[in-house]
Amino acid sequence: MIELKDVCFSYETVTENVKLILNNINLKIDCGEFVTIIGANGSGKSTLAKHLNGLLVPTSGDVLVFGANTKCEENSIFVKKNVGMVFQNPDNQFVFTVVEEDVAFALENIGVPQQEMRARVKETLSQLNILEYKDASTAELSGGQKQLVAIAGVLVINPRFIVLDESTAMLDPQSRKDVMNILKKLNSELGITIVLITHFMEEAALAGRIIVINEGKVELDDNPRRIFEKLELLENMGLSAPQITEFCDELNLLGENLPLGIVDEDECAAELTKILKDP
Amino acid sequence: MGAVFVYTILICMLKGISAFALTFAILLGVYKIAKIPLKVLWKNLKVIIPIVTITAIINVFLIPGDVIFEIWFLKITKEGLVSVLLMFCRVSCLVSGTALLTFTTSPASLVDALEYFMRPVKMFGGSPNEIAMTLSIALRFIPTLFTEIGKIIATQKSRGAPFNSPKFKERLKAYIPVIVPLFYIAFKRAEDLAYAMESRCYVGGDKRTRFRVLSFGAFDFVALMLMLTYAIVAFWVDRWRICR
Repeated sequence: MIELKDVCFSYETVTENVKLILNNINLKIDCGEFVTIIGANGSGKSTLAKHLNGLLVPTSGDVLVFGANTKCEENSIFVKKNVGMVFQNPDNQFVFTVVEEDVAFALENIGVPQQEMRARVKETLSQLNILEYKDASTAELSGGQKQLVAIAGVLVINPRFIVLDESTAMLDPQSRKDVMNILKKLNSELGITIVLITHFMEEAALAGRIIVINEGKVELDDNPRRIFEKLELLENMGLSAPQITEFCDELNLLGENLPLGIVDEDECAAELTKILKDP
Repeated sequence: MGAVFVYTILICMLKGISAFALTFAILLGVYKIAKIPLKVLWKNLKVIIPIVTITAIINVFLIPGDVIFEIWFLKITKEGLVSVLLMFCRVSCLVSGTALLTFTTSPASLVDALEYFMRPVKMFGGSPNEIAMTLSIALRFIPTLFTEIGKIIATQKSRGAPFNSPKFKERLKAYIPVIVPLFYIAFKRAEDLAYAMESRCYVGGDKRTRFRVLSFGAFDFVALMLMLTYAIVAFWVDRWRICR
């Protein structure tokens, strides 16, 4: 479990005008959850993500990963072993140019013996269906494959949490779908907690819980349906809703009476069928 | 890497055309075995031609000896010509031989070898692993930065930067708006990579284990023996000045 208690964060500046990037954040993320974090540019999402695995430590307040405070230097490896992090641009994350060598990087850092390392790299690449690329150069891969290799690079140390900071932002729709399917599989089959930061509302709607960040504060924290009910509030924060939610909202404005916050195409289709059968 | 070290010393010691001819013949054979097209070799050699030519022109007139051609105060001597020929052979052999190492060995293996040879650094408190990691990342980012330069140039061209101006000063000035964003991108990438490495438990030091451990195998032994045989034969041929 990750717990954030009264977390505030600001960058040190030479001027007296200190702007709080994170402002009194209180959150709990339990094991096995699939959480998405949404927010406008500059709202503090990435800064929050970097706090979850100790890359940044709060100016005040505490971040506890299974009880271990990220402020304590001796907890650093424990925190990073439990909370893996994948960034937006996979090209900036690769340390080595050969897939299996790059995936093994984290294992080398924690001193895993060579034989075990080889077995774990193979197993991880198989889990993500990219074993055939093990000897390939990272430069030869497509955007989606590169992002899967980046995920493999953190998955290989068996973290309990994986935080993805806009990791699908640079991908084409099909690759995004592939990455999302893999994340759902990791969450449902291996029980890995996924914390996904995204600007794509359709992706956000796939999670069990959405956290909305606005100007460094947690503005909303609920399930997708309840979040996307509040279309006006989201708009005021520079956000939108999934297309299907906006479509239902347009129909309601035209006089229909569809439930609020529909995020699922099947549910929308069922509601529309009901209206057509019983106008 | 060890073989290249021996080879470099040997090439600097050779003084006879025959030994260089032998070296060229062996190099051609090795290029053939390594399936490296001679076009690639020629591309490498082309780079050094201007430097070698300028040095050759200076040398051919400055080295005293038996004059074989004279115009006004410029004298071409037999010794000068021989010296230029030897210099050309030496530089060509060095470039072709050392290029073989980079053509046939991955940057990761090169860095591993470098780390192995840098073990004495530990005695002075240094960390060969950290030096090797720095080198490895530097090598890994060279092509990335070249791609970025290409992108920045294309962007600046689309905004009218005079990269093709006939005036040298204007062309030079056009590169200033390339350098500034390039530095920004390089620092941004460095920051991203540092975060990525840290989040994957990297703390440096020599306690890391290795995914790929270099070991001295049968092929390495055969290659070393062949290298030593070549060195002895080339040295012998040179010493007795065969066909000089």
